[in-house]
Amino acid sequence: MSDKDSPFHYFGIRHHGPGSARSLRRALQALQPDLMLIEGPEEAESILHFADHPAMKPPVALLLYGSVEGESAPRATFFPFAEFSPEWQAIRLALQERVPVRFIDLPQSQNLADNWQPPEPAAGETGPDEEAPAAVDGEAGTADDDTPATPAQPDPWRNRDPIGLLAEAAGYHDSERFWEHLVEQQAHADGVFTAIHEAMAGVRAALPEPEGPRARREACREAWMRQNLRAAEKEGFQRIAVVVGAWHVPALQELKKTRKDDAALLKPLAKIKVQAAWIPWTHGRLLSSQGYGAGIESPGWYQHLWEHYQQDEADGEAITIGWLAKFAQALRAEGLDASSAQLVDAGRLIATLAAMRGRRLPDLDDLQEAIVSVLHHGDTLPLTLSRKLLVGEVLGEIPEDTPSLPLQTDFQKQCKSLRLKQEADSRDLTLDLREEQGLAKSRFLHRLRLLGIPWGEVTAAGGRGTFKEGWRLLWTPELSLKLLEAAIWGQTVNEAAVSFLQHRIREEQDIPAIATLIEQALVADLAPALPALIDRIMALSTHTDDVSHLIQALEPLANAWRYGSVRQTNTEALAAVVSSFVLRICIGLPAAVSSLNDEAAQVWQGQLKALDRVLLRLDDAQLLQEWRKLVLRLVDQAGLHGLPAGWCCRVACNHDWLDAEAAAGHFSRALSSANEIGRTAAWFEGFLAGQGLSLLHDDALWRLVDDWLAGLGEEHFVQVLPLLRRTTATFSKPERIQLAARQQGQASGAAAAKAVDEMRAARVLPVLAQIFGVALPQPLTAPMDSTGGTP
Amino acid sequence: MSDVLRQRAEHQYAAELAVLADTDRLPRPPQWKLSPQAVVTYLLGGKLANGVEITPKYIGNRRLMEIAVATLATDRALLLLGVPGTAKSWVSEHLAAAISGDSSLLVQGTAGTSEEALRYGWNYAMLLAKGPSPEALVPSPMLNAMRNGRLARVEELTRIPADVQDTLITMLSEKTLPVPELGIDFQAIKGFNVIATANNRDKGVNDLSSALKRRFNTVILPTPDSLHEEIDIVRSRLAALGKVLELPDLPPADEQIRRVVTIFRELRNGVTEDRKTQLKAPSGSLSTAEAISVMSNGWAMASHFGDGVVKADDIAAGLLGAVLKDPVQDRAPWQEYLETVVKERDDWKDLYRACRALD
Repeated sequence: MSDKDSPFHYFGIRHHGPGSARSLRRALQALQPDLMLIEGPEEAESILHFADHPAMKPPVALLLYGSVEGESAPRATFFPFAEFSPEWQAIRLALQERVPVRFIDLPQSQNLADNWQPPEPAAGETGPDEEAPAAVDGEAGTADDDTPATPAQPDPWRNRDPIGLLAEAAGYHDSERFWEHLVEQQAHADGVFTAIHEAMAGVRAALPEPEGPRARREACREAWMRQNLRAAEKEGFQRIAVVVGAWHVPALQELKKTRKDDAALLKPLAKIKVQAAWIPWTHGRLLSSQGYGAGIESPGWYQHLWEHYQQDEADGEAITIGWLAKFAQALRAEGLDASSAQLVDAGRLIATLAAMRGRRLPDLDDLQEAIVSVLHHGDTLPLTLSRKLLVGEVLGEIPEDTPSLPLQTDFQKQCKSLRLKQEADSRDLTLDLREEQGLAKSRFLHRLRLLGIPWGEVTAAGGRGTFKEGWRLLWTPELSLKLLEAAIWGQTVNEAAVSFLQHRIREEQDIPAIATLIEQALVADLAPALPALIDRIMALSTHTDDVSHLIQALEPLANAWRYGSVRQTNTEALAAVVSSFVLRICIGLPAAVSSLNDEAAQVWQGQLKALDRVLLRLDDAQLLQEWRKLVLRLVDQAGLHGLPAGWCCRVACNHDWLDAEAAAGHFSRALSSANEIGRTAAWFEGFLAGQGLSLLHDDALWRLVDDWLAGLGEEHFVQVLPLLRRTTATFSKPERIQLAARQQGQASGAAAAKAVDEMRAARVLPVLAQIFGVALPQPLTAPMDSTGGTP
Repeated sequence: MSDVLRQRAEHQYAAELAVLADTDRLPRPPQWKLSPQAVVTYLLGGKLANGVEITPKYIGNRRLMEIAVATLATDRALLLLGVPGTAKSWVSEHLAAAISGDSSLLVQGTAGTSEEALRYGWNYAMLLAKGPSPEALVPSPMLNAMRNGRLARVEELTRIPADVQDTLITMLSEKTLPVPELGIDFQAIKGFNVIATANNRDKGVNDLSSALKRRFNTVILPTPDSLHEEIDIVRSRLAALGKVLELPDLPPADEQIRRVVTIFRELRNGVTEDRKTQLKAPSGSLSTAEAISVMSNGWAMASHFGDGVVKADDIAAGLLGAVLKDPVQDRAPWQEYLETVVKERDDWKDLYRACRALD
């Protein structure tokens, strides 16, 4: 610091750098400041005290939001903090030591207002910069943009990534690694900060003066910070710690000369009304690849480092071993070898490498290279696995009594306008989708379900037709928590549902899951997301060989198609997807069902039933035609397992695709004695299982089975009897009784008369005749005559 | 210069090794002639503090070499993997030369490599005359390395039958070699380690058992990253080779080297260097080593049969031989390449004509 009398102590940090956080903590403890000034929005000061709350667990973010009239979505920015963020540590330290903390960055009321629009629309140079936040739904992109540049924008001069420039000068191709070696991994003292400030001053002096609205905003921010510094000095604080991004430090050191200009610069700024809230954050959303300007590449690794930086002297070996152990566990979970002996060897290699490269602590590359070489035999690690570890996904928690979030407010507002009450008792609700209110309620509940807040369960609709929807509502305390978690996705239920859906579209690999998403998106009235979903499902389905996935996906797709009309959405694209799926299924199915074992046959039986159900419900002539061709083909397919074969024959009969004669032919062929007995039984089961009622009421079917049974030779009959019994056991009890009754009834048709013993009856007749005083009619005596000869 | 066709690395670069050993002040692992840092410098080249220039032996990623050297300093063995011609054996030889000062302890892996080649054999005359004794034992290069704390090299490890490969396990994990016939065992001296090389392209060879795999740290040597890098490799190796083969000095053939390397890279990657045209890739591995031999062949042609300047005619024959590894299958990609790429390049007309003339 140039001025010895100055009360200011500057700490230029790197956002989310664990080493920075560690050095900062030490320096602050040594300094014992009486005021802490941190780069952050003024409006958040009122809720800052929650940072020390025992229930507050980072990663969390400060959300600053305000709405502008005429815009549907509120404007918002996030200020995320991980546990290893220097700002977070500074805030925590200040709160613990009861040092006043102030946020000195430009208030978001001005930052979010229309102050930075380019004067003319043709300012092409700034176009991409201004659009960047919009591309990520206005989140995180604006959170902070001074230190690292996103890798997608390669020109460091344009984005003024000062570390990138320094790194390049030092021969590193990666600014992150450069900073890690030079700052984060060094033993720390006040000297670190001085060196950083000098370096930054050098970079700032070497760079051309930036222009454009973005630069103006930067200038305003720094002016505002200087104003705050001056105010703090005036109030008489003696040891003021200024914790800001390293880039800003040189600009904040000169306070006297700039006084006038700052006032002039800040005067004309417009304002909007802004509120602040804490929301839980995740490590995944700290990634620079997620579009977060000050993002980092491996929060998991930083968290690991931070855990070890807590010790007085960071122990390279402990860092190595801890990281290796984590990796080994993940490898084992994936079914790959990772023995302890290998970990020991990897540890040794890392230690040797670090010594060779002249480093006290290993860096991430050292570790990863050693892991590849020792544990993974030189091959690159599975991407999902290393990503999982590098991100180290954690969800933050915030105390319950923090001010409510915009999403919560929106939720309450919608509940009120839709007259839905959060009740702990379950309540049934029937919605008429033809009514405005009913549709709105359904939409709202579906959106919540999409967001993972299952407040309502869809029950079977009371009435007939698709315009009625039954719901069972049950509010549980966990749902409040889920609502809180969903806040990360947007300010309103609608917005959150949309961005969550987009996130799912990117992440999801599973075809049935995407089909379900399509259905959910449709019922939640998020039709704009449909094209992306349809593209995704089509892309995935082209590459799959698994017909069962397609079948599973078909049902939700068909539902979506059917319900689409009720909800006034355009469903042509969906129809195309459905028919392409049906076609693909019909092409792939014969191969997929050939050579099944009993277990697989059961599964496929279920799939086929689902397919039949869906297609019947869709009732599309062309698709049914395809289905018909397929079924008839399967009926004749040689080597098909009995169960699906029998079922197909049955379905073909039901649809009248086979006439009675052909069906009888198939039936008796399938059950003829030449066939292996197991297959016969399976066929019979496929044909008749669960069909008790049809057997009762369908005369043709009855005759078919009856004729076959009656025609069996004794030996064959005895052989198949236990197997047939297996099928009939699937009928319900009343069905079996009725079947038996029908069998008897049929028999009685021929022998009803014989049920009465005529001979004995005839003996009573003369007595009766006497009683009634009538003469016996002749024919009735005939039996007497015929039997009269016998005594 | 001696009459030896190809000198061992430790002799060929004796001067450089001596200077390095002289200036190296860093701690050396037991029995090492140089510190790990100096070994890396020897491999990758550079200027020493006293102004002596060290020629680069390996042109490529520094971090890979660091891992390789660091591995040898631990008690794990080093396995160098790569497609043919990625300088696996070259690196292994130079590592042994720099670290042990002796690259001769070599076991060449073949399908016929026996256990004796990895452990010890017997001098049967002495065995019959005197009975089993340590004198009757014929040590393998491995055993010699163990007894003297040197690096042993195993070339083409995956060609050795699997049951023979596994003899290495005891040596690598226990660092001893028992001799049950004599009831003794040889314990390795500090500094002993093994560098194995294997080709990860061809299948159908004997894959390492996981027990053996576990004893190795694996470093995969990639094909050169950039055209520039690959040209450098060919040029420097060619110069060294020319000296050994005592080929007449010729004007530098940089332009021809550039063309050969470009052709090799384009066919190997299946895409032209400007990444505009997709190509069919022939079946051969088209390694840098083959590019070197095409060039040295061209050099010999030019100096003995030509006018002393390497021209398109001199390299065309070698080029064809390198690309057309399978005379039937590889013809189509080569013809296609010739007609669509070579013909279209203005300054390649001579090469096009030379290649057509040979077809």
